[in-house]
Amino acid sequence: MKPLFSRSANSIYWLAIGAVATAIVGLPVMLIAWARTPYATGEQQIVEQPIKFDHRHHVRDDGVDCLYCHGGATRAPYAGVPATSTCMSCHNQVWTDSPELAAVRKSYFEGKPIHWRRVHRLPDFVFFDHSIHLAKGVGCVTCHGRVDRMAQVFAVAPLTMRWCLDCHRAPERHLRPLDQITAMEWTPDVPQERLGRELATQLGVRSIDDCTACHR
Amino acid sequence: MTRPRRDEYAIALDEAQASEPIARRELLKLMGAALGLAGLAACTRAPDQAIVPYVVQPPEVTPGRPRFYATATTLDGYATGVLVESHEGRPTKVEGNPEHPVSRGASSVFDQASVLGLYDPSRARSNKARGSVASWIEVRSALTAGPWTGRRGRGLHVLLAPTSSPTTREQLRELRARWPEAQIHFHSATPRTNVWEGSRLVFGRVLEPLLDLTRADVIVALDSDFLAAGPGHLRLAREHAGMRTPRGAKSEMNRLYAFEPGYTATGASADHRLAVRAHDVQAIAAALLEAVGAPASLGPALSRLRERASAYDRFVQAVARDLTSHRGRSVVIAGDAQPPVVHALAHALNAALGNLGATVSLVASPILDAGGASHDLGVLTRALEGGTVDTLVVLGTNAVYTAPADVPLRALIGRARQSAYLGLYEDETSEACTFTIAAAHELESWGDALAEDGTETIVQPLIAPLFDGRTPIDVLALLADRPAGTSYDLVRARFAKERAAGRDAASFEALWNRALMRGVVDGTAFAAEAAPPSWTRLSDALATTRIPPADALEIVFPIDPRVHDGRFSNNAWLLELPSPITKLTWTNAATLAPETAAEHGLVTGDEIELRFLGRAVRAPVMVVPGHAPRSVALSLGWGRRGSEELARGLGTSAYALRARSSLVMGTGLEIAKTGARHDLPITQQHHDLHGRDDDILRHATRADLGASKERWRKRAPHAKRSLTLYHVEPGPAPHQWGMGIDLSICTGCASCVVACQAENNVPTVGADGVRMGRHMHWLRIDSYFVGDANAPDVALQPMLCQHCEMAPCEYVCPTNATVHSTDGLNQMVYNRCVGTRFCSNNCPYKVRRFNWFDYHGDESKTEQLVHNPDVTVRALGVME
Repeated sequence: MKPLFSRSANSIYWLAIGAVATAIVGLPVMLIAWARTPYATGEQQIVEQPIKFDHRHHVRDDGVDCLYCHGGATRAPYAGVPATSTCMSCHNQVWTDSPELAAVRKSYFEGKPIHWRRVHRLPDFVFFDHSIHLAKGVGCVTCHGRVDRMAQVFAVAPLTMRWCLDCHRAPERHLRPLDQITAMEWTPDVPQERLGRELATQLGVRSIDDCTACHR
Repeated sequence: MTRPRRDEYAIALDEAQASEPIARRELLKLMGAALGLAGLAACTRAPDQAIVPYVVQPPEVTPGRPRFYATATTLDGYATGVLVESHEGRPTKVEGNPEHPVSRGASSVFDQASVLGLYDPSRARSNKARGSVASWIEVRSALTAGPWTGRRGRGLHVLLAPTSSPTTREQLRELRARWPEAQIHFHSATPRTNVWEGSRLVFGRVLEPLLDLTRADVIVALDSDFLAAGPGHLRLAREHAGMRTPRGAKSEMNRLYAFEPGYTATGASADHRLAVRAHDVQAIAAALLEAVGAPASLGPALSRLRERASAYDRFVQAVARDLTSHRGRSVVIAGDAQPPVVHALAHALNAALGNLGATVSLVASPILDAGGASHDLGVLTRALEGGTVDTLVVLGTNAVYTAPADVPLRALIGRARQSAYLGLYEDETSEACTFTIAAAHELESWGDALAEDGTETIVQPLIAPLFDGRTPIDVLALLADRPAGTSYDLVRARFAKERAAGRDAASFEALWNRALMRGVVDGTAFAAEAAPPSWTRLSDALATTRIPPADALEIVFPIDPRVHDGRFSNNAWLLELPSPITKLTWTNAATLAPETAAEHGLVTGDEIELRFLGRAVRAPVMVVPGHAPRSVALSLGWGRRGSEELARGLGTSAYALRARSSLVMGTGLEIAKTGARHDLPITQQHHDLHGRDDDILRHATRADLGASKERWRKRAPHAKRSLTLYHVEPGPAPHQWGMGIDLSICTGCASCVVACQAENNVPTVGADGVRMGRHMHWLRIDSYFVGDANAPDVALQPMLCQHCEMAPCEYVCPTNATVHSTDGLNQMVYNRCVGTRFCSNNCPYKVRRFNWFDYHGDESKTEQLVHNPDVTVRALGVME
């Protein structure tokens, strides 16, 4: 009698079980790993903006402070993108006929806002507040990197929960004096460990890792 | 805030909910496919988002920081000052204005829910002419033309809702000057005519009593729900609360007596409550007046009237003794529903007790033409019947729906050559009218209004009209032939006319800005009027007062605590708000006493036919302990037939029973069981403490407060049980939180319930959801009937998360979605929740709620505007 199963049935059977087992373990692992890749987090990726705004020129050459345009950072959850009128406060005097700025002028005179593309995006269930971080001595550069060297802005941090918690669990590693918040090239005179601990005491910085600190 | 993503899973379940029942196998297949797709869908990158800054950022705006603007909400013309929270020009939450004398920082359920009404997608979105969309120019030119323009206005009739607006007063004066023959009418479903006529009986003119409860030790409420309804209830509730908070050993608490047919918030707060038929309240008032010493001329009339109260003699005499021992420190309040004689008797009581000038002062009415003939719908009805009306303009009052049943206004309006209705919704009145003009919501309008004490507030808009709505001021300006000007210009011009004299431009500007900023115009409160009482008119009125038959069944039409006269009946927050005592939602019911129910063989849920004056309606019955016997109450505001999406068809219209002769109550009602049953959507199924009254509901007298703590310890609740769930006994935690709610102050008004809903983006679930116990209120108010079954006390218990130190919900959560924070709070992390509902099962207070469906998923862009951006909008399958 011909056997019901061929000789290779066993191997196929074991291979199939192996494949399923690998998939059960591997697929989630792959998905979890994938979510952490820079591709998925959007890290280091340049986002094309409607206007070629060059931070290098404005910050380094002109010495414009971060808060001149992103003033909400000290007062509100959102740092904010400046209103067209803020751009025009200088550009009604300089580069008044630059074709690069045509979109800005159009926005201003037509009263239609510019649609910038978002670079740093958090999920909807995360409530991040810029103002408290600035008040407690976290500098712009700590999270946003050397924006003064970016022709077009990209994210330097993955903005994953682990990345947030790394700092929340040991904030003293990243604190700086309040007058150096927007400084791009500041380095501590004393070891950061010591300065961080002093600043933490002085500014009342606590390590907060409660869920509701960010999720509510 | 971005719209919550509707994934395939949600759609599958929504379909399962919406369409005919899907077979289980089919559902599983769909769910499997949906889950697979959802899994794949998760493998995409975060979607692109735009950041859209202002073109010119207003200097006062910081994106992300809400701002508050002072304005006022009005109800039946009376203003309450409020502060409205605005997120970048989007109003999301209403708070009371602490500087406003009537609000004192508090707000009512209607104020709280007004933001939802603003974004209501059912609102009238365009002007209509004979049912089809018309331009404003079309409507405007039709309205301002007609034979009346050549006849000094004869044939032009304007019907307004009662208003206190000084700008409208000015406009009406202009209108009358421009068109001397034009006629102005006012209509409200719940006019204060009784108050005005009552004062006319005693003082000879229209005055309104302004109460000062801070000096009242004894309060007698004659069918008056002064703590939860009426123009000054927020202030009165605050003052009442102040008198019930003994500070120091010597201070005393006030005492509140209530006489009322059905349980209200005031009755629930009363120290002593007597359930009496609404028609017998006049007998009680007469008996009280006789007992405290009536003016001699009233004697004979009183003894005729008081007969009916003899059954309650002991109670009445006790109240009278308490009143007489608190001369000048007591107050008698008559309810708006009671006839003028009761108001007059209350004035007489206050006069006899020396309360006039002490706890009661008399002020002019802020309502335009209060007590005048223009407040009587009869004048307009006769004009319509006589065919002398050419153009009828109805401004903001849904008169067709709220008119008495014996006034066929719908048909009568058709007799006018043309008619226009300015309304928030395309409702019953707009159906009857030629033109419908979309109205601006109060939060979209410029205007002004007076509070009960005369304090003026400028109503300023929080947002530009969403649907290009117009205000009554706009339409009146049009009719009065005013050169084009916005309502802002008119309000400001009126303000300037009264105050600009003798000021330079800068100081006037400062005055105007200060009025806008604070929400009150300084020095506008009425001065108390000196009005000597005279008893001749009252004794005549008393002599002719009809004494209703004792055994006849009475019907009462109270204002509904949730939808008022029906104007809020498309507001889901209010529809799902449990009625204060009965906890009924999404409908009204005929409430009656257990003994009346037993007499007719009725239980809660039975449908009855109510027959009254030859008209009949059907309504479900709700048996309420503590209701007066032989009295049936059917609240106003339900049974809507307009185009409002939610309101249509809910409940029974009490207006269909009301006649001109019995606007608020009547006798001779007949009820008959129809045999049909209703499954009423009630949020609390039983109101019994099962004999554990003393254990759970602990109470003490004023004297106990000063007593030693030992006395309190002895009364500790049930002895500790040996059985425990905990391995370790809950000990003192590093942080323990407690929130005190003073139960002797809480009136159960439920403003907090709606406020919580507004603040925390709490969804509504609909009547079917409530029937299945799926309502989502984070904060609810439980009510219990305690004591004598026929005259029970009501105990109110606001119930919310207790933030237990060793919270039972946290111990059973498999995903650590609910955990304790280091500062001792019980926190809920929605993005970790997988919806096992273990926490809800383990919560001893039943305050955890579950999102059975994606309640926010189908919201339009307009509806989404109401959400608080600082709180997550929860999705399907998440525990709250």
